[in-house]
Amino acid sequence: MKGIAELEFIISVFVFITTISFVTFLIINNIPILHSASVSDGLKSRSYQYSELLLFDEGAPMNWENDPQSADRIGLSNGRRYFADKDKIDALASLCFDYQLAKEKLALQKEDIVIEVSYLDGAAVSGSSAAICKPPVTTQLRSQFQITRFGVLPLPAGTYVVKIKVTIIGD
Amino acid sequence: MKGFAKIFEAIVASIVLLASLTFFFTPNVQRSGWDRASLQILVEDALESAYLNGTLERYVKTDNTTQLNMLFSAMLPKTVDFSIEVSGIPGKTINIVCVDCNQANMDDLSAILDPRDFSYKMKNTSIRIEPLVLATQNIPESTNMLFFFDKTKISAYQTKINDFLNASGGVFLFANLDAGDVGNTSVGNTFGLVWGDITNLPGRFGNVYDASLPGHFVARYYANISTRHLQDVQSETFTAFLPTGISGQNDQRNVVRTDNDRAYVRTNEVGQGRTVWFQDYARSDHDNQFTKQIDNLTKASIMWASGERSKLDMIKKTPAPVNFKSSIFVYDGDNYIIELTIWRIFF
Repeated sequence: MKGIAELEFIISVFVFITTISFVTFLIINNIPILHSASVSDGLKSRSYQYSELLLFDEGAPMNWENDPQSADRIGLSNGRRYFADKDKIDALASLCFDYQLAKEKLALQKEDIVIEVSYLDGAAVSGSSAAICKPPVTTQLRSQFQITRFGVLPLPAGTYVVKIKVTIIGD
Repeated sequence: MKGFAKIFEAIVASIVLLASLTFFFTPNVQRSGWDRASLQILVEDALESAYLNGTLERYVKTDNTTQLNMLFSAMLPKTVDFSIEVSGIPGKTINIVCVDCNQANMDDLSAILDPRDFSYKMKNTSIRIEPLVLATQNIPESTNMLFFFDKTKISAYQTKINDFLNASGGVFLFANLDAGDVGNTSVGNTFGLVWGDITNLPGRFGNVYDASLPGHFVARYYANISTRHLQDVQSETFTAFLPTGISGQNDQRNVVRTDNDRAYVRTNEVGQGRTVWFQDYARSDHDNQFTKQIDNLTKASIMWASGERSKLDMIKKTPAPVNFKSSIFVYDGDNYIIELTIWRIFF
């Protein structure tokens, strides 16, 4: 009988391997769930940050709309909290014709961004489309998160409430 | 057989072990609460933008509930419902129930409050008066205030009065009181009154500039109704009151008091509600300037006691159990607060 494994030994090895495999599979299966939650929270956080930046920051320099190509930082505020500047919205729309440059100015690396500015009735504030900045090609397959903010836009005809939607599209 | 028993034991043990391991390796992802946070941000933005845009105060001032509700409907997601409440200024309509009043009482009250449709800081306000026999009738739901001419009715209806006060209602007692009426009595406890000595000195407002005092709000309403400024009414004297023995208690609940600390008009807060005791006054001629002066003071006190709180919903709404509120402090001649309560329709 020497050299021949006993049946108990074979079973114990089998149970051991099964246990290790089971635990490994459990851990591996959890990783995508945790990763997905992490990515989702990251996108939410980024979209909130960008919405705050666009709504409340004037950008740098403060009159960057005069030379958007040289802007260090993009912001749509006219200096007063919640007040947007029409010229800056138009400047961002024109800057976004070169989407890669706009991304660079917005300090985005892997993610993409869609910025929409419209009046409450859905009419575009700048140009014919509410989306003033978006990538040339978009896909619904990538995870994304949208946050909606409201600001006011002073125009010669009156002060209007505008809706600013910021969507961050994950890599 | 012994070997098989051991194998069976080992298999059972391994199953138990594997089952117990799942407890330790189940992913525990905490909800970030982002849905709620983003909705809260949206509501705060909506309130702030509507205020800065000027539409919020315009719709509140003109009581344009339709446009106001349309504005917020356009700003908020379709999956939430909302309710708008304004506090700090009287509502468009103040509904007064005159408890156990006869026709003479009704005529008297109407004469005191004339005109009952008036403009307060360009905001149209109406006072509606209805008689009610409280012993046999229920208080209508829209009632803002119970008005009593008869001091004996306070103890008779104490339970109903307390229930009404706990539901944010107002109670107004317009009566000349004596020493036996106040102290540890229904009237004394409800209106916070104790006896002093009789005086007939003229009454005047206390500090009209301290916004933490009820007297400030009454003085502000009084000044506007009398087409004057707040600073002009600070030193104004009221001489048509009947003599009073109600102590001013040297506290901050007096609206009009004498220099020797007797009160002519005194407020109290019971539960969620407000009470006002108002001393009777000579009013045989409402065109007399001293009578008219106190007529206006009565109206101003009623405006305060009405709760200074009104809903601006198109239909009556009851918020879902899980809701949250966001409010904005508005300066529009008067300071007031607009509160938006929102809740998810599918909760």
